[in-house]
Amino acid sequence: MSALRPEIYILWLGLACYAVGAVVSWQNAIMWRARETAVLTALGAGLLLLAAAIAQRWVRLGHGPFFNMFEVLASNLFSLGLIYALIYWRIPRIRPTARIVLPILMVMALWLWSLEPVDSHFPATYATPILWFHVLLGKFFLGCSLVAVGVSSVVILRRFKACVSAFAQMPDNATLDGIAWRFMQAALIFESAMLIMGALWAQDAWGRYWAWDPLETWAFITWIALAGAIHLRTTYPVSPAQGAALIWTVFVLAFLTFFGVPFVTVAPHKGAV
Amino acid sequence: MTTAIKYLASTRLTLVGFGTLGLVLIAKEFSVFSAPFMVLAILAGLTLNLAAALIVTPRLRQEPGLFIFHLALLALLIMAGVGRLTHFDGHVEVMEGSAFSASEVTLDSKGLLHPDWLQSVAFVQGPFSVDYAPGVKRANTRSEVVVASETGVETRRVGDDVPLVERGFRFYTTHNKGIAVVLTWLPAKGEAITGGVHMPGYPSFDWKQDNAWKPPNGPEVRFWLHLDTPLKEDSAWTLASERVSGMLVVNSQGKRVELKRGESVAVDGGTLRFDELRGWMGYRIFFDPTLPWLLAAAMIAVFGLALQFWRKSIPRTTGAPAALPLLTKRAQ
Repeated sequence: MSALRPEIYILWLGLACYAVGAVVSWQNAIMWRARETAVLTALGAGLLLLAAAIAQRWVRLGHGPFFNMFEVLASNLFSLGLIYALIYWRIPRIRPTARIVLPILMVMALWLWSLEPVDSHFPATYATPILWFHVLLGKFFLGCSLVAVGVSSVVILRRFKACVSAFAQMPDNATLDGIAWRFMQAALIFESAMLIMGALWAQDAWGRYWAWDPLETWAFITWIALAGAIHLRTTYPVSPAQGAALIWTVFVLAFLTFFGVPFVTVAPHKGAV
Repeated sequence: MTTAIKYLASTRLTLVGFGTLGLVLIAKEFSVFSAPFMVLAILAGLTLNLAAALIVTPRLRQEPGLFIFHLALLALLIMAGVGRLTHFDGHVEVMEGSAFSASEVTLDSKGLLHPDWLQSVAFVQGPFSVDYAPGVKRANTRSEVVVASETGVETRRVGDDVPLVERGFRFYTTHNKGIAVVLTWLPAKGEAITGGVHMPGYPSFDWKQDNAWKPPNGPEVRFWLHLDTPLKEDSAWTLASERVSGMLVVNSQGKRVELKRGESVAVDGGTLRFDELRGWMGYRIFFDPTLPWLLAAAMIAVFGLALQFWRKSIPRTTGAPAALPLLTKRAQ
């Protein structure tokens, strides 16, 4: 095991701030407090530290966090945290969703903790500005899905007596369902644009815009699931709880596509060629 | 007729199509079965479903965002089909200093309506270089090609992500490249022939730099190239043919001879001269005339989605209120 660099300590500190935010959000629910600013402050501090850690590694390696699992997870912990912090700040009525979203980020943080922070080589096929658009759009897609998961999960959790009080101040289920699906519609826009940019990148990098490689196939399956879920809601009466299950299904597919598929295959996306 | 179109336009049918397509793709991923025709058939069915929906579903036409998105999606699906019918995928190896020849192209796949004009593509391979990071990790590839232009000839530099585009065919460099041994065959009777024997890809097969060639009316001759400089695995380096030198081991009918550049060996039927080492570059060739139109349709589709989302989600100061505003003003 290699010696840990300062950037790693900064990273852990940032994730510890996320954990503080998660604890405070649940403390608010359990103790009937409303220290929402404390949650936002912890998130903000975490974001600053994560940004510093990622920037330090970027400068040292000469390339962004795009390649190995450690880099991709760290980068997504930052981007998902940033998107959620902005939503938390701008839409006060869904702030209690921090009790769901931040623990999800903590699971990712634990996964990151278990990984060796090995340095990566930047493949020539990644040296294109298209990569930036592709990655950014993907982050917005996952960010919107995460917020939708947070909002729709409230509908499910409120079915349990123990959780009713934790989310009592939030709007009714129908309103939450509407908000969650707005985020899923935004997610569809970002995912569609991400697929287009991915195809452009694949054309430049590997001479084909679409080849049904495992990552492309799973990204398309996620797109079908999302588009299908939206069509399902326009075709049949879908209850908020059923809607939440659909949103979770899409999110799990997206999560597996982002963090599972690229690392269990030697497809070109991994830069193996 | 109208009833049939209405049935075809059903969103229930769309859902069945999405579900089946998803299951087929998942089955493909888990190697349960691979049925490209099934994927094509489902996509064709979804295309018909979408076209019918655009005709008979008023809401799709009344809402500009939805209309633009679905129309662009229909165009995208149709063009993807046209693209598959006219596409060409192949690969070829071209030696430095030699001209591209369509007859040497290996076909991977092509559409039924592909216009066969690859023969009219002409370029000459110039020198190339490939950077490697420590650990033999491939970085940038720079390949020079000479093509005919209106002003005579021009040299272009291409690479993995900068293709040579000629007559609609896109030539991309690949990881497949290596060293060619240039030999001159001096037959006992007749004219001398000069050509290159491509060794296996380098550095992928640095341990197996051998190949064989059969002279006209002679027995097969086997070659093994022993490079002077061993492969650098722990440091950065650049592969360029002018930096490569080595000894050629020739085996013919049990006789083993080591040749340096310029040296010859007599074999049955003539003399073989080792002239020099050059590089060969492996290109992937891609042709799809719908490519720019596909991109345009995809961009328009996303614009349509964004327009629909904007009209439904962002609160407006005038006119009808948005369906469900996400951003609300804080209480003063």
